[in-house]
Amino acid sequence: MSPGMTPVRLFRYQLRPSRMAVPIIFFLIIVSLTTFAAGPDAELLAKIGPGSLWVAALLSSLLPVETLIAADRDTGMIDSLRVEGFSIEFLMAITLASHWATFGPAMIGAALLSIPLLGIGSPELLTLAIGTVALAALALIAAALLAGVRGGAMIVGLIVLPLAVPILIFGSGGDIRLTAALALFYVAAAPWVAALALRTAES
Amino acid sequence: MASSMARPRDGTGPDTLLRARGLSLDRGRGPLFANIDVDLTAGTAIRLIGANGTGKTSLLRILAGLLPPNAGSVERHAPIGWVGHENALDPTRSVAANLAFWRPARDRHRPDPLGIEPLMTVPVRSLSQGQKRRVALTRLLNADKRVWLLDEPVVGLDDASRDAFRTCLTTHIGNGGAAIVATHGETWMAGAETLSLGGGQIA
Repeated sequence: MSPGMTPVRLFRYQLRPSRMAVPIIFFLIIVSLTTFAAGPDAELLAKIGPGSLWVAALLSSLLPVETLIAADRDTGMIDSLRVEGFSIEFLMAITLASHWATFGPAMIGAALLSIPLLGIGSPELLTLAIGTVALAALALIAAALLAGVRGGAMIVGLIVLPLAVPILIFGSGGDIRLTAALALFYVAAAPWVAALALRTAES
Repeated sequence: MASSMARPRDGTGPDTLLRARGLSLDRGRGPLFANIDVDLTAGTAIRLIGANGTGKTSLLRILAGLLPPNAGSVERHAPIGWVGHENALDPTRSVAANLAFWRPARDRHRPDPLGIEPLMTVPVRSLSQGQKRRVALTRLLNADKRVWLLDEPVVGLDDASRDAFRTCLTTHIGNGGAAIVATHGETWMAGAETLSLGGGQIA
């Protein structure tokens, strides 16, 4: 292994905040459209607010999928890091951590801006904060499944959205404990599933 | 090419840096190659040749640990330096940032045989293919790995850079390193031992 090639260095290398600009804008557009569509009825907005928040976050989480792994795979970075001695599972775990470190706070920040529109409160924000971990893990799995697939971006929704149904139900329902449990499950599984997908694609 | 690039090898001595036995690979359309043995000892270079699709890249990837063979085994007794088809460079970062990622404590007085010093502040995406290759090869030179596995390393290089890298390779071999280089060039590495794929035989 090259001197100084530490997990922290890998984590910092993977941080790409610029990728989050479009998802944040997309999130805010969905929230705004929901508000326009529902009208000024505060009671109705309070009812659909958490669900709308989660749908917006889920759809926004799809946007970085195409480049999340493919960028490093196509440039040969993943191969070179593997030759340095890092396992694919470890690299996927680092990718997940760095992706969430930008995606999670970005979504929470965008959700804070949505408070006046959707009338959501702290419990919904906390549930979403926990849920972003699961959404980031699902994005990693989808990115690995799609890496190397021509036109993969076209089917990313077909992969992620069905897998996200449980987290959407518990998250928009405000069940923090089940949301956290699902997030833990997805985080634990995602590096292994993503590594398996990449290995299978190669062989 | 200096004839000093190729030296006698026995494949069983303490100087063996990489040994492979009985390597076979089948990508689903019949065997790509079968029963390949490789012995790479200190001070040895092997030129890996063969027509397109005969498995040069796949064999290198197996030797590097990036691809599991269908049969056979690989023993690696020294750190591997890898330059594949891709350059393992982040296009959004500068040349200096890319090199610093792989070797944070780079010696400022380290020789620059491929002449990339004037490119240090340039983002990689602004470089030509040949310049990117020079950066990738400089990363290899900086890494101080004893075994080099190189896939078409001089593709895109001008004559001066090609000669400079050939000198680096000869020096590396002379200093007790070793290399396996997949190449189509007839004169490039003409003095090295040759492993010819296509019939799975060592020429």
